[in-house]
Amino acid sequence: MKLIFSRNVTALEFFLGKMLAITKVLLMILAAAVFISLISAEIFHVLTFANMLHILGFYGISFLYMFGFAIFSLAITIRVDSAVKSMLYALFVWIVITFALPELVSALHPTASLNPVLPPTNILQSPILSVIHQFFYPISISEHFKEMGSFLLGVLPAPTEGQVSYPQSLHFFILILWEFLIIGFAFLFFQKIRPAENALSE
Amino acid sequence: MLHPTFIIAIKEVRDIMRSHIFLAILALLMALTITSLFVSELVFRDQLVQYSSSLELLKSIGKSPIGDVPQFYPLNLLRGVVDYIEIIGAILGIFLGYITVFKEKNTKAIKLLLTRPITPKDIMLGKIFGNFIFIFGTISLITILIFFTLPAVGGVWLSGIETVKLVMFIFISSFYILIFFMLSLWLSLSQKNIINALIIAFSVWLLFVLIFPQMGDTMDPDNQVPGGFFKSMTLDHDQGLRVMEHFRYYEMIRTGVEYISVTKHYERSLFALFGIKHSFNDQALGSILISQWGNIFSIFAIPFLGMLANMRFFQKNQEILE
Repeated sequence: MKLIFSRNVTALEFFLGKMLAITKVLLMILAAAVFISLISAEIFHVLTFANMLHILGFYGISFLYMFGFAIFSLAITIRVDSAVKSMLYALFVWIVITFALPELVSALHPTASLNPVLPPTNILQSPILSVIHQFFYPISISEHFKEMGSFLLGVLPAPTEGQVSYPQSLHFFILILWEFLIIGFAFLFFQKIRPAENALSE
Repeated sequence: MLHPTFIIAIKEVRDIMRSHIFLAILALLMALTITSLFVSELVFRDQLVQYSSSLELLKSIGKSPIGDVPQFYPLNLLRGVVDYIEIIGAILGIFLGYITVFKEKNTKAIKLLLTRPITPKDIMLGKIFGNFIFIFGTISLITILIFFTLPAVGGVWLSGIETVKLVMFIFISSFYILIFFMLSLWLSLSQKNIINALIIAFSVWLLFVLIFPQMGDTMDPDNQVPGGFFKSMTLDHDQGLRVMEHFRYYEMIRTGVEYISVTKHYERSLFALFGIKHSFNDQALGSILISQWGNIFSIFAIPFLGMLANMRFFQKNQEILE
């Protein structure tokens, strides 16, 4: 860090460089996933052009979702003085977004959040859970991702009673908003880097 | 004078307590436990309300009720807690195993320690014992929280046998976490670049905690329809089994995938103990333990094998921490 900032490099350039590197790695991983998905789907069905576009669309929003977590982890690593703690705190946020929020919002058991065949719990007739659902659903990022992903892949289940039903454009907007918030948050952290004070201790 | 193993164990616990990691993990687990119990209780109450309204409706049109009245078993509310320990407990074990080696490699204190009349076996046992005390303490605190929160949300105090089951939960969960601690410890000791140990340990975690158990469930034909495929086809349990005899090899692969995951053993044993798998709800504790002995045995046996492997490895390669 000290060496990098001894050159004519700004915090913004450093931040953009890191974002580009993360983008490249994620795109490489997702490209492999797209390839495998297309091949395996082609083996069982004849894929139309529209099918292929849906698969690409799904991986496009997967990139947005994953990129948010990667940038969040980057921001935490800049702020926390230990690599282990930063990884742990980033994992905590992932756990809250992936398991805790869907459980609170839609009464999904933690493992049901991972399993596509387990049925969603139809609980939203409960007035208290219904209020919690309406209050927290807008920030339940993983559920917006899941809704959009299921829609693109044509496996969207019918909404259960009392469930907030957003148009797909709103799910997409929330994902984009989450992306921008995380990037803004990370950029603020990057601007506070003081390499001369050994801001990155590990 | 305390045995060196205990001195090292106490130091391990003190080191963990001094870091903020302990408080962070405990706070997260406690928050998730309360959330899970609260949501499960609301879901159960909702099921009761739905059952009562269906009953009234059926009576009003002169039909007799079908289906059983939802029965309240307080330990059934712990499904979410078991899921969280499966996932977060394994992460806790991985981090503890990594940190215990990382700090020694950083401080080189082990070199000083080995100048004293302390054997590598004492050091390794002390580290394992210290971390086990910490894990056991954390799970015990979570269990105490459950013990007092369950009556608050469910309205009934736990019976003697339910309390015994909670105590068993402490032991089974602590040994489950210890499995991941042993794996991470062994990887951290054996990898030249210690960060690789963390990456490999998390890959194993991903595979054995998140992917394999879900693969088994996803491949289960009965899970393909909400509420059960065979039930939707009005087939009973025995008829379902007869159908599955035609898919013997498929079932062998599916159960094989589940069996290689220690998480599935943990889940099965606790789902049976807490009656989350409803067929175990009114069974005696003895018969539950007999039916689950294989799952429970593997949870206790794997850490023991891990301990032997780590001690043997450290005895032969003690210079790695110097």
